[in-house]
Amino acid sequence: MDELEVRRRLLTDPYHLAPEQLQQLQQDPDSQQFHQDVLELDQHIKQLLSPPVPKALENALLLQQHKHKQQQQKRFYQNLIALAASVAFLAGFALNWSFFLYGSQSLGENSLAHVYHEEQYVQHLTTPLSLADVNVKLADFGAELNSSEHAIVFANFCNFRGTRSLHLVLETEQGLMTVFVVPKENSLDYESEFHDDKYQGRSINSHKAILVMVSDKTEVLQQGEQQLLKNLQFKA
Amino acid sequence: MWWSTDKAAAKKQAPEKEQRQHSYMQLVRLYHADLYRYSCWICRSADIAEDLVQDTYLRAWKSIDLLQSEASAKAWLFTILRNENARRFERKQFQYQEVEQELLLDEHQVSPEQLYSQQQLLKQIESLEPEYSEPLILQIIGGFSGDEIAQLLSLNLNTVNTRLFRARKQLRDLLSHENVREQKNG
Repeated sequence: MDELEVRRRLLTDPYHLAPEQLQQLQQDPDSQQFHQDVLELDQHIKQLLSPPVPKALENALLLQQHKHKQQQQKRFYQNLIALAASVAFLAGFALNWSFFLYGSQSLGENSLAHVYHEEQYVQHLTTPLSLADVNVKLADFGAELNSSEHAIVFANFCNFRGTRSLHLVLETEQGLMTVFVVPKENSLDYESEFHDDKYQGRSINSHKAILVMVSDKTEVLQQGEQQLLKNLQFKA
Repeated sequence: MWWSTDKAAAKKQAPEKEQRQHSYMQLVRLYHADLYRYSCWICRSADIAEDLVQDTYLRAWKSIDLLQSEASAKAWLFTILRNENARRFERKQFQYQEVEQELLLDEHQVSPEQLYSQQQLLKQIESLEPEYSEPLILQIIGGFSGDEIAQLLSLNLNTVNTRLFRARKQLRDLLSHENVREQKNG
């Protein structure tokens, strides 16, 4: 290592010396002096560029992290509260909506609504349906009609508040009688008897389904009930 | 069961949080003074320097999980500070100021002669090309090795070494000229 190289390396980095540099320094007082000069100038520069550090800085830095953390926590809880509020709002909304859609309704009210709905249409029905056709539909409810003394003029599935039910219309001598076969699993409040200004109704809670009969005449209902109980059989 | 795994996760999280907090406090204690000095040098203003250090530590806290090891922490902080400073330039056109003399020179503790020579030295450092003074300041104030400076400045080691050498050489030449002139005048 010539002198130029020695100095070049000392000027490049006087702090991290390689073993051969250290060895060389020990042997050469001039190089040692040069090294000292370099370090001295560095020291001057360091002093020059070392303004007093504000005493509050360290605490400010620690505090700022603390604040930031708190803010994050606060934001987390704010978000949590916002989320909870949203959920509560939606729940309330859904609940309201479900009351509107599925407000408590009784079997009777619902049956009457169906009867009124079909009232106009049923008036014009005169063609009796075959017993076989009716039994196909009744089979869905595990029921079977052995025979019918009265003509069945209408047999269709209908929706009892989300429960598939069968809507039958029987033509008796005294007038029309509507019979609903409603599965036991339904969303309606059971009513054994009901009526309004025009119609009367009566429900029989058999072991498999509920039978609802509606007519505008009491005697039709009585006859119909007897006939139904006699002829309608539920398969075990 | 679902809650037991949750609990385990929460338990694991707590010491991690503490660890993070502890690391941050260490970073502040060990390096805030050096960062502040370096910040003063690159900002030329004590107030901005303080803000810059605060911004630096805030960013460091946010991304403290990225810190690989204690050994690289100082260089990491300096890198963040340099980035934050560049960001500051992006935000608004910063007017390059003369070094605030009162900031860098402690006038009360030195004699007029010393003050004069300090001012001279400051002038000389200022007169260096930034590409030369930059690695030099990082070496003197930051105490970084050539490799670390190379990484900080995205340069290769040879370039850094050359610049360090030239920076010191120029500084020495300038100062010796000054001395010769003074002796002549004296």
